[in-house]
Amino acid sequence: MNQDPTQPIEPFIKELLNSLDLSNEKFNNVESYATELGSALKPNCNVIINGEPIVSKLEFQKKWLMTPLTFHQITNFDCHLIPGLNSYVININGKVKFDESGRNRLGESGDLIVSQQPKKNMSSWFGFFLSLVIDQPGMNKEIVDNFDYRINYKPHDTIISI
Amino acid sequence: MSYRGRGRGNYNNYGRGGFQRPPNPQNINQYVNSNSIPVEIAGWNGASMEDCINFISRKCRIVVSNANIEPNGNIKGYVKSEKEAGDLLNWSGVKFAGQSLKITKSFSSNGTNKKGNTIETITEFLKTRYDEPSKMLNLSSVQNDATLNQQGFFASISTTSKFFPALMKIASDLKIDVESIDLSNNNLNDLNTITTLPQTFPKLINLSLMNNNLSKLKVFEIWKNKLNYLREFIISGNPILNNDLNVVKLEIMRLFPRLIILNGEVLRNEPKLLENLKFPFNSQSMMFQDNDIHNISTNFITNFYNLWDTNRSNLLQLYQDQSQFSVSVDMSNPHDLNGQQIDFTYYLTNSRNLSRISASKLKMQKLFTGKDQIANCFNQLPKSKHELIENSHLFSMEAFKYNQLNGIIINLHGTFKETGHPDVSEPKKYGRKKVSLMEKGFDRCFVIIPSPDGGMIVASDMLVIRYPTIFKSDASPVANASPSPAPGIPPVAPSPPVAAPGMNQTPGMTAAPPANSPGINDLPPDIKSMINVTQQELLVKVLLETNLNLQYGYMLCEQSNWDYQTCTINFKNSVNSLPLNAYR
Repeated sequence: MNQDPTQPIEPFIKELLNSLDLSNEKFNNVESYATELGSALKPNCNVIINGEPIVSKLEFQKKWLMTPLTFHQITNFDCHLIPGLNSYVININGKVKFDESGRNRLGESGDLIVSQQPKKNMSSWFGFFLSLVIDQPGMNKEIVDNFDYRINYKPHDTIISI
Repeated sequence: MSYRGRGRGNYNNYGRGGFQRPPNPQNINQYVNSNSIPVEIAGWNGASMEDCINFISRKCRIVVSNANIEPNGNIKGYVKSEKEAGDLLNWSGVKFAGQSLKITKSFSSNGTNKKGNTIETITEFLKTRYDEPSKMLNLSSVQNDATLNQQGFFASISTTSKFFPALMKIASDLKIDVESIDLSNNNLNDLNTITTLPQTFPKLINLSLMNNNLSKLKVFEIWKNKLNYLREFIISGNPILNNDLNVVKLEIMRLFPRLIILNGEVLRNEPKLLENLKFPFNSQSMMFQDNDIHNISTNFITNFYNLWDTNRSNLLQLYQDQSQFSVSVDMSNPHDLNGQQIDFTYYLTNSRNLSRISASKLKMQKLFTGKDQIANCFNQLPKSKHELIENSHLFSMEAFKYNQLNGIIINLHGTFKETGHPDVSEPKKYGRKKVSLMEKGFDRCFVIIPSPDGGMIVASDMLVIRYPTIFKSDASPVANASPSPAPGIPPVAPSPPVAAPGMNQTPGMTAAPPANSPGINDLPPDIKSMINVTQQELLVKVLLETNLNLQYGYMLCEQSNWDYQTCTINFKNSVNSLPLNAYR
C-alpha cells in the first residue's frame, strides 16, 4: 500500500496545467486541439473561472480556445485525501504568463500584416489559485470533479484585460 | 520564450547593442535644480565668450553654465547656488584679456531674483505647447523656439542633450495629462534624450516622430513594451523608412503591441486585437452555486472568522477526529511589494508546501488530524484580523457543492492583518529572532459537511499564506456585481443565521457569539434616526452587496419597501442604468 497518498498528485497537476498551456501547433484540427485542453476534467465537471461558473467541460474548452497562450508554473500546492472516498481536495498556487502578441490560442490575430514566423510576446507573471477535487489518479483520464481557477494578481505592465 | 519581466521597467538594456547610456535622472535633477542663480559679466570683449567662461572656471573654480550674450553685450549665465554667486562676485575686477571683468548678480525685470529660471522657463514652455482639450503636447521644432534659444538651452551640444530629459522631469512633476505628443522636426538621431518618455507619459496614445534623423530600427528597442497604449505612431520623414518597409512595420508592431496605425496605414484590426487581449471569462469576486449555499457559506465564513480572530479555540468543536488541517506558505507568488520583506517565520515550521517537500514522513507530519493536533497548530499561528465587512473588497469567494460528501467547498481569498504573536511560540524554533507582524495574503479552502447531530463539521481545511495582493478586474463595477446563477450580489456580509435544508446550523456555530453587525454603527445618525434596526441591517447588507453609496443604497431599500428580495430584483433591473457615481 502506498504510504504517501500525495505522491501521484504533483505529476497529475503538472500534466493538467500543461494541458492548459498547449499550443495548437501539433494538432491537425480545432476539435482535436480543444479536447486536449483540460482533458482531465470530467464532462460534467463543476468549472469556475474568476468566479464565473462555466456550464460544462465543453463550454470551458471552447472559451479556453479564445484565450491567449499561457504558461503556468506551480509555486505551492497542498492536498487532503478525504477518508473513505478516494477523493482529493487540492489547493494550487502559481504564476502564469499570457502571450501579449495579440493572437489567441488558435493563432488568430488582428494583424493585417502577417509575419512568416510570428513571435510570442509573453507578459509578466500573473498570480493564480486553483482548487481541485479529483478522484484517485489512475487508469481513468477524466478525474476532475471541481475546477475553481482564479487570477489573484495582475501585473501593472500587462496589456491583457481581465 | 523570454522572461520579459526581468527586464521590464528596469531599463537594463542600456549599454547593449551600442546604445549610449541615457542621461542619469539624478543628473537631470541636478541640471534642473542647479544653474539657477543668474550672473552677468561685463568687460569681457577682448576675447570670445567661451574663453571668458573657461577663464572664470580656471581662475575662480566656478562653473558658469547656460551662458549667452545679452542684448546689452554682457554675458549672462547661471551658477549653482547663492554661495557660488557670492564667491564669484568677489572676483569682480579680475583682469581678463586686458580688461577688468565686472561681475554682478542678474535680476529679472521685476527686480526679483530669477532662482529656478530653468524650471520656470521650461514650465512656461510646456504651458504654451500643451492643449488641454485635446491632451496634446506639441514639442515640434523646439530648437526654433525663440525663448528657449534666448535662454541658451541649445547653446551647446551638452545643454541641447539635457533639454528633453529636463522637460520630461518637469512634465512628470506637473502631472500633465497627455495622450498625444508631436516630437517632429527635432533632429533626433536616436531616442537617448527621450528615453523617459514612456515613464512620463505612460498612457500615451498618439506619437509623432516625423522628420527626424532616425535611421535604425533598434533605437526603438528601448521603448519595447513600455508604450502599451500607443495606438498611432508617425515616423515618416526619417531615414529608417529607406529600409525594407515590411520589416519596419513588423518590428514596430512587435515593439508596440497595441499599435493600430503607422504613418496613416492601418496595421491591425482593432476590435479583433482587443478581443484577443481579453481573458474571455467575466470576473466576479463572489460565486455561490445556489441560494442555500449562499446562506450557509456566508454564515459559516462570518462566524468562523469572527472566532478565528477573537477566540480560536472555540472553533475546535467544528473539527472531529478525521478532520484535517494544514497550512502552507507560498513565498513565490507574484506581488507588488518591490523588495519589501514579509516575515513568514511563524508559518514556515508547519508549512506543507508539497512542491517543496519530498519526504513522505515530513508530508504526514505537517498534516494535522483531529482536534488536538489542529488545536496545537492553531495556537502556533499569529493572532489575526480579517476585515471581511470593513474592507469586503479585499476578499473573494467561491462556494459550491461537494457531491460525494454531500458537503460544500468554500474557497476564500484575501488579505489579513496579524495582530498578535502566537499563543504558543517555541523559542527553540525562532531563536532570538524578532518576528514581525504584518499584512499577509491568504487562500483558504474549507470542506464542510453536515454532522450526524444536524450541525456542521469541517472535514478539510487548507490554509495558504502568501504575499498580499489585491486583484482589480478591468471590468466595470456593474460587471462585477452581477453574479451567475446564485442570487443577489454576494458579499461576505453577515446575515441572520439561516439553516439550509438538510444542513442545519451547527450547534457550535449557533452557540458562538453572533457575528458582529459592523457597518450599522457607521451609518450617519440622521439615517439611523429615520429607520428601525432591521432596516439599518438591511441597508448595511445592501450597501455591502451592491457596492452602492449610501444615497443610492437608501433609495434602493426605500423603493423596495425594505425587502431584501425586492432589493435584489430591483438592483438587477436597474444596474445597467445606474451612473458610476452611484457606487462607492
